[in-house]
Order: sequence, then C-alpha cells, then structure tokens
Amino acid sequence: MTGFSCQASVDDSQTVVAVSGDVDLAVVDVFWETLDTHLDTGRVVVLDCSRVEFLDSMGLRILVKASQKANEVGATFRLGECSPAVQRVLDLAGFAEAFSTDSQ
Amino acid sequence: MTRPASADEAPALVLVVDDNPASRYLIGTWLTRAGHTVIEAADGTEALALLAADRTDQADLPELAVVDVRLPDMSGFEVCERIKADPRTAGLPVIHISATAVATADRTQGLDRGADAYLTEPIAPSELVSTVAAVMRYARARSRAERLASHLATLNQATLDVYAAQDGLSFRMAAAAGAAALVQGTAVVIAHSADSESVYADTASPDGPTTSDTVTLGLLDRLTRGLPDKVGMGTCEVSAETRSAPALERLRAGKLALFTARTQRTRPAFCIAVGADSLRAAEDARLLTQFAQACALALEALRSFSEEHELVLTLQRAFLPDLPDLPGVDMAVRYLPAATGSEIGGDFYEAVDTPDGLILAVGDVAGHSLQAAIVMGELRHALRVYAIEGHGLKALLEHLDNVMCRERPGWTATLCLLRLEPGTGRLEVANAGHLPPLLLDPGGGSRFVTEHGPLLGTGVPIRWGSHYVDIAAETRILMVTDGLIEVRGVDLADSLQQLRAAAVAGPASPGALCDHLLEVFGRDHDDDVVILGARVGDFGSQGVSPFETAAPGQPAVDAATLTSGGPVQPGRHFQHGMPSNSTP
Repeated sequence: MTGFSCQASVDDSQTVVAVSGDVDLAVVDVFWETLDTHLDTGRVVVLDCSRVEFLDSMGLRILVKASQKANEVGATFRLGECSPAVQRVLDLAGFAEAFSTDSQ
Repeated sequence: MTRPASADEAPALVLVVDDNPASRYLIGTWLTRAGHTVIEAADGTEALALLAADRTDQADLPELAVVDVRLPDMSGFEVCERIKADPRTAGLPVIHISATAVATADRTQGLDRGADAYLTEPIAPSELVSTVAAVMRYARARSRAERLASHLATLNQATLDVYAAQDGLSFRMAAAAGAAALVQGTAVVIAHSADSESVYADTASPDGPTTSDTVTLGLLDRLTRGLPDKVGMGTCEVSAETRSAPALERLRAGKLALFTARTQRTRPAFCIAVGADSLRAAEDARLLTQFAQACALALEALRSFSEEHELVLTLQRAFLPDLPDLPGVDMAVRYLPAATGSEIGGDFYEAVDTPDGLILAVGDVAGHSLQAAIVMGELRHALRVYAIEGHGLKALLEHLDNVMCRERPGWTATLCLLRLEPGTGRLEVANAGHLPPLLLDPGGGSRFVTEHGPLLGTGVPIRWGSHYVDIAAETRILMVTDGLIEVRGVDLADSLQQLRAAAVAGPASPGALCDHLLEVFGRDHDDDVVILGARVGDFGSQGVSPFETAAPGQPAVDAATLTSGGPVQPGRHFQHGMPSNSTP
C-alpha cells in the first residue's frame, strides 16, 4: 500500500492535478472532491497519472465521472501522462475511447 | 484525636532495618502493639536481600520500611534509593530514623533521595505509629489508584479486542482472554454464536491456552436462573450436575461469580463465570460487570452484522442465475463472495440461450456495497431481457451502456459477452473493458481474445464491432473477474499469464478447472470472484480449423500483445492514443 496524494498546480492555460500512490476505494472520495472542485472552475483540467502505482475499478470510475462531469459543465478533462500500471488498466478497460487525452 | 480506622490504616507487614538490636526490638515492639507485623534486618545488604525476588514473592513484600540512616555497610539513604529504583519495590514507602545529632541537611537529603518521612530520635512511640499510619494511608491510596488505572487499561484493551473480533469464535476467545486478564485467573465465557444457533463456552487463563466447548442452552439457562431478570451480577452455588460441565470444571471448586448481560430482554444472555474467590475487591466485580455489558453489545453488533451479511449474500445469490442445461455445452460457474465480511461486490455472470445461440456473460460493477450489488442485479436483468429480445452483442452493450448512464449515472461496469454461433463453429466476442476471455484449444494451445471496447457507463459511443473467433469442438472457454487474479503491485498482464498457465495445466472438465483455479489463486480474496468455464461440444459441426481461419477479418490477438505493450495489432479495435505515456 502506497500513500495516496493529489496535488493541483494552476497555470495560465490549465490546471494540472497530479495524483500519486494507490488510487482505490479508500481514497476515491478525496480524489473525486479534488477533481470536482477543479472541474467546477470550467478550466482545462489535466490529470497527471505518471506516479500512480495502483488504479482499481473504483479509481477508474472516478475518471469516468470526471469525464462525464466535464461534458456536462462545459469544462475540458484530459488525461496526462500515465504510469504503466494506469496504462494497463486503461487498455484493459478500453478506456482510451472514453475521453480525450493530451495527445488528441 | 483519633480518626476512624479505614482500610488504608489496616495492619501492615513492616520491615525494620537497624544495626542496633535494642533499637530494632524497641521499634518492633511499638509497631507490633499497633497491630502491625514486623520483619527485621540488621544492615542494608540483609534488607535488600530480603526484598529480592528470589526471597519474597511480590504478594508477600512488606508494605513499608523503617530504615535507620546509619548502617554499617551502606547508608540508609542508599538502601532507600535502591528500594525505589527497583520496579518491584518502587512503591514501598520508606521512613528514615536517625540519632539526635543530625543537621537539617541530613533530613532534607533523606527526603530528597526518596524517603517518605524522616524521624529524629528521641522518637515517641505514638509519633512513629502515627507516621506509619499516615504514610500507609497515602501509599495504599496511591497503589489502589494505580491498580485501578491498570485494571481500567486492561478493561479498555479487552473491550477493544472484543469489538475488533470479526467472527463468533474470535469474539469469544477475546472475551474469555479479557475476563481472565481482568481477574488474573481462569474465566469462562458462555455465549451464543453470532448466528444465535449454538451456545459455546470458552475458557481462558492468563498463562494457559484458550479452549472452546460446545455447551447446551440449558447450561446458560441454569447458570442465569438465580439472577434477577437473568441479567446483572451475582454469586451463586451451582448444582454438581451443572458444575460438571467440562467448561466449568476448569474453574476451581467453590462458588461461581456470574456476570451476565444482554442488550434486550428478547436477546440471549451473555455470561462470564469466574471463581468467586478470584475477585479480589469490589472493583473487580464492577469491572467484570462493565466488561460483560461491553461483550453483550459487541456480540449484538457481530450478530446483526452477520445477519446483514447473510441477507446481502442471499440477495446477491438471488440475483445470480442457475446455468441452463444445454446439450453439447458443459458449463460450470464458481461465485465466491469477498472473504472480508462487509465487502459485497458487483461481480456477476449470466448464460442465456437464444435462437441465435448461447450467450455467456461475466461482468463486474465497480464498487463494494449493497448498492453495487443492486446495480449488478439491474444490469444482469437488463442484459437477460435484451438478450431474450434477440439483440446482437454490440447492441446489447450499447443498450446496457445507455441503461447505466440513464438509470445509474456515475456507476461503471465491465462486461464480457460471448455468443456461440450455432452451425458455424464461431464464437462472437464483445468485451466492454473486462478481462479477456481465455480459450483453451483441445490441442493444448491457448489464447486470450483481447479485442475490446470501453467499459459500460461512460456514455461514449461504441465505435467498434464484435469480434469473431473460430473454435474447434471441445474448446474450453474461461471467463473470470479481477478478484481472482488482481494483486497490488503485480502487473495485470503477468497475472493473466499466470491464469493462462494455471488453466493450461488444469483438469479438463469445466467444474474441476474452476476448482483448480480457486486452489491455485486462493479462496481468501478481499474482492468477489466469478469463474465461468464452458466446454463446447461439436456445435459448429463444420470441421473448423480454429487457428487458420479467422473470420471476419481479425485474427485472435494473443495476450503477448498485452504483456509487451508493443505496437497495437491491426485487428485491435480500440486505440489508446496516448503517445506521451506509451509503455516502454
């Protein structure tokens, strides 16, 4: 079990939320609140997952919710860099289709 | 003026240390007349030896020491310091006595170095006796407070332990061990099991093993019969017959002290039995009464938790179907709820026989809660209805995604659908973000079908079709949920390879194969597990050669694609367009 942390940095064009550690049931509430708050600003929110060591289905569900919320409120939610652990889960879940990433 | 005698002024065992036999005799006589018992030592060495562990048990130590300041081998101050430095005797109060010619500095030194009082000769007998009484009063009050604090700490720990128990046995073990720690003796706990169906007696003693016996409801009734309302605390004689129950035989003969509690009148009582002689003070009885109440509440919580868990499991099982009995297809399924009690997952399976062929499904609604189980039930039901209506696999996924987004926004699920196409020997695969199905070829080959699209609940339009794989007769199909293989810190692709290896090495029949996988990957998961295995007979009957003709278009992608993270094969329907984070 690795400590979860979630930090946001804001610059002129976007808000980058950097998340690290284990993203699972234990932390989804905190994780969602952070994303929700930043999506409410209507800015471009980029989620940096490069330091996530474990992402389970509940964590994945938060990514889906964030993407849906962005559509609703007219914000932009993109996935930034992903660690191999996240990439694997995204690949398996067919998730790349679900929302835009930095590459698109 | 004399104060009324209290327990704090009861006679004590007093150690008198003086090298002068006449002084020893005199002081001893005064103290003996006041009711105390005296033991004597002629110098510091003898005094310390007398107090040492190898000479005197903790319980038989003197309660007070009267120490002459001038001793031949060491000063009285040093004796006092060494008494106070030893944890066994640190609480022993010391009264110094000394000859007339002492300066104030000597007295202050004595007190500064730990003594509780300092008397200078000539000493009046009454002054010595009153000083001893005053010092004893204080020392006994302090020791009582310390003992109570320690007992409360024990009670607190014991209460935490019973609340931490996850099942009936560990609850009773914790309760018996806690009661034994509180009385420093053997204790028996008689309680109903968490499902209220049996009665057990668990025995513990501070240094012995804990044992568990099944007893009759009658024993609990007989024990509690004499108590008012069958609840509370009481001391009673029990009949020889009752006494001969194996559990109670472990308590020493004599009266039993019983502490019973229950949360409501309709609830069975919880009972602690100890030998009445192991209660040292009234506070022991109060502590055990409190502990019995805590235990009754903890057992009630465990019981309602157990009932709730049973209810949810029953509901969950009700959501899950029996597999249809079809000619030519041998199916088996294993469903294991999460090992850790409260976690109810959203794993499910389904098998629907339609005119277009048998549809097999394994899915997983994200989350662990009653709510997740309910969403799972809805999703499975919707799947069944749409499948009976005759929708194709892609349409099924689209409809279900729509249902999830409309009815359960914010929820996601993975779902793998397979259809055995009659008369063609083809297997249609439509996978929404679930673990890939594993095909075990009768010739010994194996392959994951990794083509898939996004999980359900995203509302993203599905831009991919289903995938077709030709399979030979006697091919076995295996679908699992991630609870079986997901381990933190282990790459899921590695886990899939382990699954493949275990499946290839496993027995042929689907049922035995499922059991084999449970053995290999363990049953003690903190997530739900579904394993669905099927062996298809000659349903194609067209002599299909599975690995050469891949219709329409796409070859089955081996799991190596997953492992290597290499270039996406052309047949793969989804693209993960994230160049910034491609796996190395």
